[in-house]
Amino acid sequence: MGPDERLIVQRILGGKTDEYAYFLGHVADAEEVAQDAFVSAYIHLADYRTDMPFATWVCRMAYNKAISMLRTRKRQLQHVVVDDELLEKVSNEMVSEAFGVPHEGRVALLEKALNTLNADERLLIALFYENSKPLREIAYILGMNGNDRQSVNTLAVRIGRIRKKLYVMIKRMEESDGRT
Amino acid sequence: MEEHKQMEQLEQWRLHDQALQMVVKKESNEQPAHHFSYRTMQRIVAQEQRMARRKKLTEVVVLTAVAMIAMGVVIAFLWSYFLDIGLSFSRGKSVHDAPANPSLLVGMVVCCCFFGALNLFLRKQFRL
Repeated sequence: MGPDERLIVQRILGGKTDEYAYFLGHVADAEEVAQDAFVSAYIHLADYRTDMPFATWVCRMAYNKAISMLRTRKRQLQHVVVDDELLEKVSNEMVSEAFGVPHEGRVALLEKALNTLNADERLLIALFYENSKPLREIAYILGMNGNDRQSVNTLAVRIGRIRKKLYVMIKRMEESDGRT
Repeated sequence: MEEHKQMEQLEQWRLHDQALQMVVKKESNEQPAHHFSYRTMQRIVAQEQRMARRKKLTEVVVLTAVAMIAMGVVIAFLWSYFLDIGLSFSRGKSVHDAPANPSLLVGMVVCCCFFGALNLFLRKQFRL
């Protein structure tokens, strides 16, 4: 138990029971957000006249709920900013080569690198790679107009930049590992 | 053409970035807790009950306000006639001797229409 956790325990024992959520971690938060999204979807079911699938519509609600929850709890994921100039030097081929075959060491570094992304970037990567959602649906979830070509193009560019950012982070980690 | 090329490239990334795909899937592999669906449905039922209660309360408040306003209007409309009847009684005259008031007929028709419509609405609303 670190010094921060001791402080939290003292505060909980002092009556601030809400702070116990710290020990439940993000899983409890995620469940709360998911439940809120489903309840909200049920309440606004009459408004569901979109050309998007139902799951995408609920995902958009969940995204909005998650953002407002992060705002109210003033919780921010720590993320790393990489210079644009540095990203320009990285080619898509270099990234594809690095992310193509899953080596054990590379996977571990990628896990660390993913944690350096901000919430929006992580969500974008998860929706693109894990759920294999079409870009217009991803745009809709993130509050953009899914039928607008400009939004879809912006997302495509953002995905390319996030890949490059991950690549830069991996290279940095490999370099620092090499030095040590 | 440019857009088509961009989409093709994205599909290539999705297909070939195996390492990244593996990490993303591993990261979001957490399953919801036991009884997630049951608890969500419980929340939805509770929410629906709250909404139904709120709707009923709003209806009762609105109907009471409308009925009170309507009664006020009817009384104000027929006030002079009631006054005439009262004065006639106090002078020992019968109702038939009271001065004719054309507003009486209009007032009675308006009153009957309003309360008839309210009756129909309430029967429909409360399924009587």
